[in-house]
Amino acid sequence: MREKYSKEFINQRKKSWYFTYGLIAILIVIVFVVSFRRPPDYVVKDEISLGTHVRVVVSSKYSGKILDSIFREFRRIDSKFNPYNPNSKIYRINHSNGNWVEVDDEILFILKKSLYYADLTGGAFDFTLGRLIKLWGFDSENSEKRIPSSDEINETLKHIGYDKVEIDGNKVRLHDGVWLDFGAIVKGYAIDRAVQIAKKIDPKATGFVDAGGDIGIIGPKFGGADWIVGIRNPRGESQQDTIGVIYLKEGAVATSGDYERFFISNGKRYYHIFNPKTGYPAKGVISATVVANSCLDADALATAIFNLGIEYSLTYIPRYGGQAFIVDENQKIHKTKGFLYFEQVH
Amino acid sequence: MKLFGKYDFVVLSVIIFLMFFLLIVRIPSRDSLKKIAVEINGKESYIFDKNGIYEIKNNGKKLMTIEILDHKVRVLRSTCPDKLCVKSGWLKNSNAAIVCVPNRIVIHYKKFPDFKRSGIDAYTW
Repeated sequence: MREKYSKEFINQRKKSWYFTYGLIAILIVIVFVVSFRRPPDYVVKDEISLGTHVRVVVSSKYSGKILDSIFREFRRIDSKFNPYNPNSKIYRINHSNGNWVEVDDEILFILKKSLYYADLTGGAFDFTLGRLIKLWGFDSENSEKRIPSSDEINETLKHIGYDKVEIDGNKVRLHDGVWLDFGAIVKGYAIDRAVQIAKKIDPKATGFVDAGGDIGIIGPKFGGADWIVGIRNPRGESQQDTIGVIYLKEGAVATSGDYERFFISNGKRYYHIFNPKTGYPAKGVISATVVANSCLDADALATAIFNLGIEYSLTYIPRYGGQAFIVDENQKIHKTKGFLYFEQVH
Repeated sequence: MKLFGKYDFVVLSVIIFLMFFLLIVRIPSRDSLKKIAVEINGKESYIFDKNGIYEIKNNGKKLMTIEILDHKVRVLRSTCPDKLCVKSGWLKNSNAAIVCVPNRIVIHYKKFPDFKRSGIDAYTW
């Protein structure tokens, strides 16, 4: 029988096959690596909690479980720490008529952290402003906002002061009818808890938790890049008008501003961050952004800056573990020296 | 005589088609980025993709009026006391949202997020 193809031809064809199918095999591997071995897509969930908008962005094999757990935790913290909700534990402490109240470890932790920042800032951060906040109508988004009379403010100031909070072991007692309001710290705490939960469920998870513009990083974008966070222009026309940008792979950022909760009366803006000495909204600063390792710390320091003043803040906020970006009432920007680090890609 | 038979080309074509298909199915449609979703109490209640002025209602009760123009959205009127949602201005970035806490409404782009190597991913405020 006559040979159909020469041996040389068959060998050439075999080589071509090997080359072509080898190439295809490599391409298939590359496509599978690109398509399936890359981290899962980011999943986003929004909810309203702690009186603000909460957004969780996460990439993980367990995204669903992480999101459910985080929002459950937000709801739990919201119902426990809302001082104006008669079912909350803080409400019960506030209405304990000066008697000792036994508290759990979590409330004790928040109390001690709040006392720490109150002491550290000489009272610029004060968590006993509950009555004042209610007087102005900032206790709820549905409350009527109004300018109280000076008599009302002076009367309310008698029921303010972190030195009127007494702790003994796991018991707390409030003197002179002060009301606790952890609004300036509990949002940061909830974000820190959310980040902890995500990392506990999946240490490889990446993403961030954003509650009303306070942000805690779960892990770097796409596993290695910085999250790019715009700092809102406090007098911008849109929420997305920015006056600065920071880059974060870890840690947290919190901003307090006079535009979050406010009303305008006779052309003057009244907002929810108060000077505990005067009983009126703090003056001089319209926006304060703090980057810190934990969102609780960033949240507390951002609020304190409104009463600390700019010069003091620029000196001391870095010593307290934060870096600050402050906008004064003339819309001039002031930054701590270390803030520059977060304005660069790493 | 050819080095490749016609079946080789069929197999090659099928493999290349499959590879492109796998890549394409994982790229989101750009059209979906232009749709605007309105969530009430955590449930997606409205989807809009055309310019216009729309009323947002829940259980027959009018809560707010929004305007959509060239894939941007803003709140024109709202029944909430502080009108912070109205003061939010235009929503332009797919990684942001307009929120009305009293009415429990979140307005955002239907397909979010749109994270890239550059561009803002979130806002601190």
